[in-house]
Amino acid sequence: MILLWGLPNDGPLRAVYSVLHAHHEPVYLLDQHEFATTMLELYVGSTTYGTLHLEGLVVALEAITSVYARPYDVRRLPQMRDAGPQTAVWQHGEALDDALQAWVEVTPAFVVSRPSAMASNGSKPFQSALIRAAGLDIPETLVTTDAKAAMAFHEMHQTVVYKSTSGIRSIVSRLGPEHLDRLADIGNCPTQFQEYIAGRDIRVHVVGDSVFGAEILSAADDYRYAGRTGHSVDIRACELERELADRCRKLAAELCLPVAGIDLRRTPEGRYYCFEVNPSPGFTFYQQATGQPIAEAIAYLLADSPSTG
Amino acid sequence: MIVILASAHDATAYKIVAEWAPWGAVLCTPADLSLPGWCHYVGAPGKAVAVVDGQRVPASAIAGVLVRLPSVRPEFLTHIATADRDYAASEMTAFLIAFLSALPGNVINRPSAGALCGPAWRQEQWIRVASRHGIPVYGRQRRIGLSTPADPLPEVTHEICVIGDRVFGTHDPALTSWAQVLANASGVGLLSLGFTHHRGGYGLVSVNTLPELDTSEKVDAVRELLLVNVPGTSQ
Repeated sequence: MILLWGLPNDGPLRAVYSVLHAHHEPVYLLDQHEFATTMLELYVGSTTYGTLHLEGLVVALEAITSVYARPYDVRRLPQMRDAGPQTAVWQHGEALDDALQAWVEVTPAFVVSRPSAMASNGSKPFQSALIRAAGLDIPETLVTTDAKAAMAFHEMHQTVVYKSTSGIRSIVSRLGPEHLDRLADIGNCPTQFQEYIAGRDIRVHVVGDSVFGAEILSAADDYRYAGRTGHSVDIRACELERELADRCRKLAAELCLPVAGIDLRRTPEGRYYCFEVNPSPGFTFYQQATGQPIAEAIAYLLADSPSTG
Repeated sequence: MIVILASAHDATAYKIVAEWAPWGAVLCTPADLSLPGWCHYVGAPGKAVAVVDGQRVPASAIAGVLVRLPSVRPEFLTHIATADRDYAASEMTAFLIAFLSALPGNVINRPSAGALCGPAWRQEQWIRVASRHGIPVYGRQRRIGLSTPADPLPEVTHEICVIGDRVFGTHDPALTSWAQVLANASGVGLLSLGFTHHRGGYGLVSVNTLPELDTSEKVDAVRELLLVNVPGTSQ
């Protein structure tokens, strides 16, 4: 059985489910909304086994051959918010989530992707060092509480962007004259600055050995939020040079990510910089624009991949 | 200089700082991350600057760091507005993971992607790794249901601490060997293992990368480990 874990209205989860269902693969969507009626028995010792009790269905964990995990923060589910902390519902929701996370880490099933592999995205400068070690160029990066160091970095690179250091999503913004007067505020908390790289954004989705490239045409500093700044965004499929595709495959493999969304920028001189690796990419945004069969590739990966033993 | 990264409420950390005064030990708490001067350049660890004891300290001056925090928690940041504490805690944790991972000196335990102190493994992962390396384990069971009480863990009868290549808390050769095997397998220099009596022998129940340093022998061993290969230091 192939287990998909998350919310049924999540685009990537729904897209992969549709492909698997259409191909009559044995797939089950473990809907987080149903957590209150979900029970789990998990044993981890010299072997791992257990049982998942769902509405009208009992699944032996050993029968699950692959997992596509895109769980939402359980504490933010409406049922959890309504119940509130200190309630039995809240404690059950957290305990179930924690136990499933533990199982996903240790199961011999093929998992897209294990939480420990996804963790590098929780510290962007840490992940940048891994990206660099894997052979891709990264922008010059400074994380600091020192306004003078930030100013010197700005003067050296002329154009600089700032963004969150952790995995918390933030809008990438250019450091402008209006910010320089307030630079002393960074003394309260380390802030990440990067040299601005001019060029065209390329999003690469690695799915097993398959690589899908998409180029993004937008004048926005952060094309994901182009609409907010009055910019347009146009996404088109693009061919990747073989060496670049191989580097992306290598990077995903070194991060132990069977599926990854890699953010690159190609300079006018043809040099590529890597900004980030998304360990659980929301690929449907790109798939809808390019028509690339990313959901199909993930579905085939889940259906065909052997467990890790 | 030795830096002890700990909560401002960590009494053991204060005690260690006092004992290690001859080796230039200083305490660094999460509040110090709100002082101007910290710098981390990705790919250039030699240019890093920390702020400890109110002073800017170049990375080259830090011989070692003892990490006594799994993460920066929002409640540590009482000097920051309540609404901003969750965000600041995440940002500071992410910064420290990158900073300490790249620091040229000895860091015990060096951070991993998800934790400031060693691997961010759940107990089940430790149990699996231990079992794969031939260490007898006490299997961990979880039964999760809306009205199901949590499964009790067995009592730990033997608490063993690994510090570098030294093992504290047992003279049993098997326990000593298993502790060293798990430390090597996980690449962790400082950890404790909890064993219980199981099937006529022992079974590993739990692992902790932030063990209690409750004897002077352990504290000395950690200091010696921190100062390994540091020129000009008397361990």
